[in-house]
Amino acid sequence: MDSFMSLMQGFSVVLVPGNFLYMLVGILLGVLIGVLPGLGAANGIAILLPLTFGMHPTSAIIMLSCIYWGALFGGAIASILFNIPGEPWSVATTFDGFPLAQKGRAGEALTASFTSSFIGALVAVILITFLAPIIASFALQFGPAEFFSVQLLTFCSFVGMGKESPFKTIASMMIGFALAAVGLDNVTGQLRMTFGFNELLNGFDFLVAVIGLFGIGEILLTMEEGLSFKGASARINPLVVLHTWKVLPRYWLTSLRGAAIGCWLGITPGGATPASFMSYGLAKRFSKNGDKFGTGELEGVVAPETAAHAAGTSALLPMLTLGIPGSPTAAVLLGGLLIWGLQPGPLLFVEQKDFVWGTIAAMYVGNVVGLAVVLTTVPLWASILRIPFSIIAPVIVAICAVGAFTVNNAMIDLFFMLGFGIIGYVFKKLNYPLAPFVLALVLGDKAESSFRQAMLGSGGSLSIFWSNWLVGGITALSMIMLFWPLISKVIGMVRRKGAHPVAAE
Amino acid sequence: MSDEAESGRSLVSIRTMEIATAIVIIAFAAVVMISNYELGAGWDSSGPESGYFPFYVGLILLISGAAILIGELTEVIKGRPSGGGSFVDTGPFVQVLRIFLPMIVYVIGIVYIGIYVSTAIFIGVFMVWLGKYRVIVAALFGIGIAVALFLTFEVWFLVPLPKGPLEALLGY
Repeated sequence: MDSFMSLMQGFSVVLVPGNFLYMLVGILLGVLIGVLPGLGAANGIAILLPLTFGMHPTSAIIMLSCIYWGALFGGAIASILFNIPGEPWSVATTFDGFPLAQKGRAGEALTASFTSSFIGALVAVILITFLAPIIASFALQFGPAEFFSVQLLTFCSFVGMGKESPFKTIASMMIGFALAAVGLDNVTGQLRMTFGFNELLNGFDFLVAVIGLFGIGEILLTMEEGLSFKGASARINPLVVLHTWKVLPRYWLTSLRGAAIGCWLGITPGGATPASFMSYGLAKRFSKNGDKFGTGELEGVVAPETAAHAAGTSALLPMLTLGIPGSPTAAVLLGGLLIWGLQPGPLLFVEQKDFVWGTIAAMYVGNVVGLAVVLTTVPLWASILRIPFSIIAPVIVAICAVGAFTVNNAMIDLFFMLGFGIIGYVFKKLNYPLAPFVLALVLGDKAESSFRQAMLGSGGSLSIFWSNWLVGGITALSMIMLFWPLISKVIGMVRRKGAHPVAAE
Repeated sequence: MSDEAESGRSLVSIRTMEIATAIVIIAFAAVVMISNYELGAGWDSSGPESGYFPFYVGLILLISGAAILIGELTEVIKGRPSGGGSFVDTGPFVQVLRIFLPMIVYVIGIVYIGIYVSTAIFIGVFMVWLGKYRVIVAALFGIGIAVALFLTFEVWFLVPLPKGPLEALLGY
C-alpha cells in the first residue's frame, strides 16, 4: 500500500493547473509528432528538450513524457487513414487498420486502436507503480559490478532478441560506445580521439545523434519513396465510439496477451516495434478469425496497438529504477534527467519522491487525457496529413536544425546532424539496428565508469562479474542472450537431426 | 513529386553497400584501437588507463566488422555477387539528393546569414522547386515559418538562435 500512498501524492503534484497545461501541450505536440513522418517520439523529444532547461524538472518530465504518449497515439492515425506508418511501431497497425478504413470503418478502427493503446499503457503503468519501488530498493544494494552486469544484460538482450544480424547489432552498439568515449575522459582528464579538433572536446551529444539518425535519416528515406498522401477521410462520432467499445471486450484475450508481450519487450529492451509485430503474429495464429487477418479485422488493430503502447510505457521502468533506458525515447528522457540535474537510478526513489511519483501519476492522467484528445481531434490530424510533403519536408528539416543547434549552441552540431543523417539512412537500408547505437551513446560513460570501478575493485580480474550469485546470475543471463542466435541455431540443428531418421523411415 | 520518382536502373547493389559499410566500420575500428593504444590501454598505478575501455570497444567492433565482411565475401565467392537486390535506384537517389544537397546549403547558410533568413529561403525555394507553388505563396509561407520560429525561440523561450546581418539591421 506504500506505492498507493506515494501515487496519491504524485497525483497531487500533477493535478495543479500549470502542470496540467504542460500535459495538454505535450499530448498535442506528441500527436502531431506521431502523425508526421520524419518526426518521431525520440527525435521530437530531443528537439524540445533544450526548451525545458529552465523549467522545473517535474513539469518538464510531465510535458516530455506526454509527448511520448501523444506520439504513441498519433502513429496509429496515419497508419489507419493513409496506410503510412507515422512511427515504426504502427507498421503492424496498417495491416488491418487501412483495409478497415477503405471499407468505410475508419472510425471503428481508430477507436479500437486508441482504446487498445490506452489499455496497453494502463497495464504497463500499473506494473510500474507496483514493481518500480521494489526494483529500486533492491537495486540500492548494487555495486559497480552489479550495475555493469545489468548494463551488459541490456546490451546483450539486443543481440539475443533482435531480428537483425547479431554482428550488425554488435557493430552498431560498439560504434555508439566508441563515439561516447570521444572527448574528455572524466576519470583521468585525458583527451580521447579528438585528433586535435577542439570541436570534439565535448564529444558527440547523443541528442544531436538522435535528431540526425531518426529525423534527417527518416526524411531521406521518405523522399526516396517519393510518397504522396492519399487517404480516407474520417470523423469519429460518439455513436461509433460507443458501438466499438461494446465490441472490444470480445478481444480481451488478445489485449491481455498484447499487454504482456509489450511489458516484457519494453522492460528488456526489445522495444515497441518487435512487440507490435509479435502480438499481431500471435493474435493471427490464435484467433478464430485468424485467416481473415489482413482484410480488415478489428482484432488485428487491437493486437499490435496494445503491445506497442505497453512496450513504450514499460520501457520507462528500467529507466526510472536503474537508470537504464529500454528504448531510444526512454534514453532521450534519461538524458533529460541528467540535464535537469537529477541522477537516474535507484536513489531517485529515495531522494526525489515527488519527481518519481509525479512522473508515474502523469502516466495515468496523461493517457486518459490523451485518449480523450485523440478521440475528439482526429479530423484535425487527418487534414494535417493532407499537406503535401514538399511543404512538410523542409519544415521538418528546419525544426531538426533548430533542435540540433539548441542542444549546445554549437554550429558544428549542425554538420554532425547531417553526418548522423547519412549514417541513419544507410544503416536503416542495410538493417543495422539504430536503438543499440543510441543506447550505447547515452550509456557509454556510465557503463565505462562502472566497468572501470568494478575492475579497480578486483585488480583487473574479470572474475568480479562471477563473484556472487547476483552478479554471476545476471552475467550468465547476459551470456545466454549474447550467444542466443548461436544457441537457437544449435537447438534447431539437433532437432532436425533427431527428426531426420524418423522422416527417412 | 511522386510522378517524377521513376525507379530507373539500379545505382548500387545491396551487396556492394554491405561490403563498403563493413570496410568503413573496420577502418573506424582500427582508428579507435590505434588512437587508444597510443593513449595507453593498459594499467598504471591508478588503475585502468584512459584508453583501456575504448580500446576493447574498438577490438569488438573490428571483429564484428570483419565477420560481416567475411559473410558478404563468401556470398560473392559462392557466385551471388549482386544478391539482395538494389540498394538504391537512380530515380529515388535523385529524389534523396534533391533534399540532401539543399540541406547542406541550408546548414552552411545558417552559419553565415543566420537561421531565420536561411529557413525562409530554404522552405520557399523547396516549395517552388519541388512543390510547384506560386512564388508569392512560397515566399509568404517561408517567411511565416521563420517569424514563428523567431517569436517562439527569441521572444517566448528566450533561447538565442544563430542570427545574421538582417537581424543585426533590425536591432537583434
